[in-house]
Amino acid sequence: MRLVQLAIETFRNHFNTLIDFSETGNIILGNNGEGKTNIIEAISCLCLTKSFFTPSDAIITMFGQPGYTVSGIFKSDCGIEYKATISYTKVNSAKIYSLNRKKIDHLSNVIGLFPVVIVSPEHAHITFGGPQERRKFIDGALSQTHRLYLETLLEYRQILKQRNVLLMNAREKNERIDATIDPWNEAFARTGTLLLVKRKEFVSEFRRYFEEAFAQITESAEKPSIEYQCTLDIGDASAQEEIEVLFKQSIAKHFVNETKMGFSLIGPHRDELLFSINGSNLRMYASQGQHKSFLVALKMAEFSYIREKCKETPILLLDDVLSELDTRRATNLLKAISSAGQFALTSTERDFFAKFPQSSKSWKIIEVKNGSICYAN
Amino acid sequence: MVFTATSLEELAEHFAQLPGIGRKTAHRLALYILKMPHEEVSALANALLTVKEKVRYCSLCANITENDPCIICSDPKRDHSLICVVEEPNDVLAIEKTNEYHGLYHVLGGVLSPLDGIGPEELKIKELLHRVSTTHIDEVILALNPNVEGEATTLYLAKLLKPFGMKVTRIARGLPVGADLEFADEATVTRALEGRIVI
Ligand SMILES: Nc1ncnc2c1ncn2[C@@H]1O[C@H](COP(=O)(O)OP(=O)(O)OP(=O)(O)O)[C@@H](O)[C@H]1O
Ligand SMILES: [Mg+2]
Ligand SMILES: [Zn+2]
Repeated sequence: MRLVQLAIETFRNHFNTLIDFSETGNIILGNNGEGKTNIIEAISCLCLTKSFFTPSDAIITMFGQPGYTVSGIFKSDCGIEYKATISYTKVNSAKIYSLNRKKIDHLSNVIGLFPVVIVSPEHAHITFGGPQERRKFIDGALSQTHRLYLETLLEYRQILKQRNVLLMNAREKNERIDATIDPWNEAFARTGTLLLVKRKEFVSEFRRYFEEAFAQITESAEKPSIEYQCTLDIGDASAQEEIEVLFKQSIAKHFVNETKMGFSLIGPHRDELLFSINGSNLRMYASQGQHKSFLVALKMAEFSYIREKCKETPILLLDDVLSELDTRRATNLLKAISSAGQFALTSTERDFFAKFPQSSKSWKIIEVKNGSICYAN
Repeated sequence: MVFTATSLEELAEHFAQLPGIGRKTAHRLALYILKMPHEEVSALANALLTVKEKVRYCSLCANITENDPCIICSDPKRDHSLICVVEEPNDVLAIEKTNEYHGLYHVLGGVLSPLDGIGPEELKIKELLHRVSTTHIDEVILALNPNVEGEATTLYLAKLLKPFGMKVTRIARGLPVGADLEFADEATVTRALEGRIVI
């Protein structure tokens, strides 16, 4: 998939910005605060129906404006064109997505249509932050590639909310919930098992892409690893039926404790994806550059994984990725993305790209100043 | 927009509280009423009151009706050994429109949802159990909406109904997730009813 053209209206500091993208490399240059990240964020809204870091559409609407509109023309790998538009209106907080001028009923139906992989400073949470950030990473990759996973995930979250209300009632009001929680346990185990099976499958397939990407970027002997850690004791069970049985047993085992705590203690919503380099935990021991390399490799692997599963090349959006990487790793990364597909990369370092006279000839340079494009070749 | 006449504003306010009616539409409706002939307005007002006075819940199936039992429950031509359990009266209408179903109904009045404070006590579940234990029923079809709450309610009812020994089925997941029975087209509802599975 490639984004051919993008139009941004009253979005952050862009009042009315139109960009024609190159179908290969795009370098978005500009000083701090000029509006580079905002362009990446607008593309995120178009591909994923929301910003990749703030959940609030009011915040991304330009100050003093009633709403925003982002539209774009996409071209799939086999050449089919799509015209997509997302508009948001503050007053009724309505968000409307239309594809080829037809309104899409559920925003979640858009996910996966325009596969995209985003790396930005916000994503540093994936390696630095708590387990929820790593779960979000898995969920994101799977949601873009497996429709059923996304649907199950949404169901699971709703079931979890309902189940937690019952557990809280048991804790706070001493309600007897043995019978009423039964169907929720059943649904919890069914959807939770599906998520678990998919996530374990994902990690085992993903590992190969990840190790490859990490080696390519770092060119070092460092040995990275990713490991899925279950709150449920499922041993090495992998068959769905088997895991569902273990899930139910685990629910029974934790029931008394859960009614004491007032929320669900086990399940995929509490699992962890463990990262390490040479056997030491990344979160505790790694350097800034190692974190960044790990993150970039995760994202490049996500790119390959999505391309393989969707049979469509994702769009790569790289916001401020080069900082913290040494010149060799940065160069390796540029090499890797140049052969990957379409990318858009933001940077403040104009001079850095002058070092690549060969490739930079085919790259499109887009310069941003105060929410407008002031130069494009 | 605010009307200068308080009574008009009040009427618009009432309209705005109806489901699916936004503020703008509410104002438009209020203005429309103002322009209607007097006798039409009073017919409308009467109709509103009559509905409230005459319509009640059927003591057998809990559907809305003017006569108790309702016309469906008292129709000897229908199959009285078959009960289709639905959430709301609207779902009865959706299934009746298909003309393919000739059994009886049971309207639960909602689905289990702890978040909204709805437990088994808030639904017509006791009434359903009373029905199946006092009359001869061959099959209960659970036709709740295919969302998380509908699923949980289906599982809950299936477990309660099992001991009575009749066949318990559910409509096939022919409806797209998130699509309410009420909004599904007739063909889809028919297909879902035909493809029901035993649970
Ligand atoms: N809702 C908004 N309305 C108008 N302007 C906004 C809004 N939100 C953010 N901005 C402005 O957008 C600018 C930041 O843009 P952006 O984050 O894209 O900068 P950048 O070019 O990526 O900078 P850096 O190199 O520092 O990352 C700031 O000047 C900020 O004041
Ligand atoms: Mg930025
Ligand atoms: Zn009746």
